[in-house]
Amino acid sequence: MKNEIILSATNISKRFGGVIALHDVSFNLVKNEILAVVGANGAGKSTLMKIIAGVLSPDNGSLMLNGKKIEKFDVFTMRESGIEMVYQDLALVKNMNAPYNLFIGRLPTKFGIFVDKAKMEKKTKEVLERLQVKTIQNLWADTNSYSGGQQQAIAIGRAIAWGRDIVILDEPTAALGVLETEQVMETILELKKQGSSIILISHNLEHVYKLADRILVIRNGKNVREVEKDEITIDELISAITIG
Amino acid sequence: MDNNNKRKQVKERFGCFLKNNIAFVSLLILIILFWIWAGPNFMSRKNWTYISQQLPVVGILAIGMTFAVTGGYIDLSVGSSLGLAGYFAALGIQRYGPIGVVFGLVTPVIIGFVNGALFAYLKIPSFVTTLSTQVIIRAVLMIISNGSAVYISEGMATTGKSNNWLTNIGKFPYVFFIALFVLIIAHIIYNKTTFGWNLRAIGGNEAVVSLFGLQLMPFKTAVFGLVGFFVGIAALVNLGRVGAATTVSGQGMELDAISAVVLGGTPLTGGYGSVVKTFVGALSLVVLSNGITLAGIAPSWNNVAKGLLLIIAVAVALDRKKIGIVK
Repeated sequence: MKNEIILSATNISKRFGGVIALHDVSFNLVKNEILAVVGANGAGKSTLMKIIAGVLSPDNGSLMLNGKKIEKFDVFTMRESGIEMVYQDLALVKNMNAPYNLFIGRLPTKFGIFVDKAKMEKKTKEVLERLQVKTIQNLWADTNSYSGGQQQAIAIGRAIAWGRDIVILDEPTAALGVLETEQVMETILELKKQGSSIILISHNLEHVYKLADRILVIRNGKNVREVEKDEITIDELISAITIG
Repeated sequence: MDNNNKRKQVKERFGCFLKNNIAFVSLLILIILFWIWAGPNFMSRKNWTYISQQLPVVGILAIGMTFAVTGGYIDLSVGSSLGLAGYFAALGIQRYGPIGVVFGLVTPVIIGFVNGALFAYLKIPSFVTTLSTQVIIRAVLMIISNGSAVYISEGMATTGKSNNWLTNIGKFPYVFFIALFVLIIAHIIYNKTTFGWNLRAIGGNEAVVSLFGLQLMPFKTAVFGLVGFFVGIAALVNLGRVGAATTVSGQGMELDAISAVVLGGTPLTGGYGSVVKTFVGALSLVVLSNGITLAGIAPSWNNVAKGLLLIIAVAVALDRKKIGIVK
């Protein structure tokens, strides 16, 4: 069971007009690992993750999830296949409450049309408990009244609420303070403990070394290294990011 | 220091209360003002019966508008649509008896779907779309009616069927209970259904809602269709109240409907709202017009007062933090 590959990307390419964002990028995600994806700004990390999350479709290449080829690239299909993404900007509807954001796109109903608030509240509490978030007092307040860390917890909670296999986190600590960053890092480790496979995009190499099992380095739209964390020093990593 | 903090807290709470309840506060102020100004006649049962008869049409129209505005859209065609719906309903009643009201209900729903489709699929801003259809519908009404009114009581002469039931519905208390019933249904749709929740979410952040799989184009079309449904009910109530469909029916009512929505505290940027507060906003507008008349002020001042009320209410109640940039 060890090193069982859950997601395999082969020769993924993507072009925006004349700009080649990704060129033949291949990598594997092993079950229950944290794979950090690092690279300079514009290297193509977010584009690659958006393809895996179904926000974008690749021009070429293929994705295999649990040994099955993914034929259709859209968010709905990817979510149904077990892939959730926590976007850098969190993708929260901030005028709505936490349960809505957790259930967005799949609101539970009574009689087919009425929102089942009790079910939403129960599930939201369960998820926040799993993430060990105890600071949210009013679940039904608009999420724009929450702190950055609480909002991040809701965004991560949405990704794990449905027993997802793969969670993609795009710069999850970029906009957070020290305490909130600690909270999110603990959450990521908790996620792994609960069996999810995680892809983590981060510019913060210290966080990468603390959290990741393996590292994928992307430079100018190509993958230049895919290594175990212990096989690469931080200086070598910086060199791979900047020189290739 | 403690006293300062307490004072600050009280001030903040008062500000928050005012922001959340501007509709009720405006109404209360208007009632007190006209009670003093216009005398005891203003608070008489007769006058409030009159107000209750005046309220439903603009109230129901404004309820529909709340759905559009919550999504961040606007529907400027509701007044014209009401006019055309009333005309078709009156013709339908004349020809087919009571069942003819269906024409009045279906016409604005179709117009709503057309508005929604033009807006959602052709990506023409709702302001431009509905401004255009407003003008077109009014012109069509003028053309097909040849400028003349249709009286629903004429149906009796041609079909032998009495239409007293509709004119009765247009009277107090029926008309008021119809409005209350519509308000309750709208409140349930707005606050309890997935449609209402998704609408508020779309008004807040359409891109995110779309990212999570909601099909925006059919949804937006449905929102305008729903607005049309409320226009249809308002048109029938108006027809029952007036007893005739004229070419000027509903003219300028879109502005009253939008004013009621704004007075109810719904920001035009979308994402938030309340149909109950909109209805109270509509009541404020009716009370204002009625009070001005009873106070013996020239009717021309009515619009000046409406405009001022709107500016003051928005200046006091607009939650600038919630809507971000004021444009």
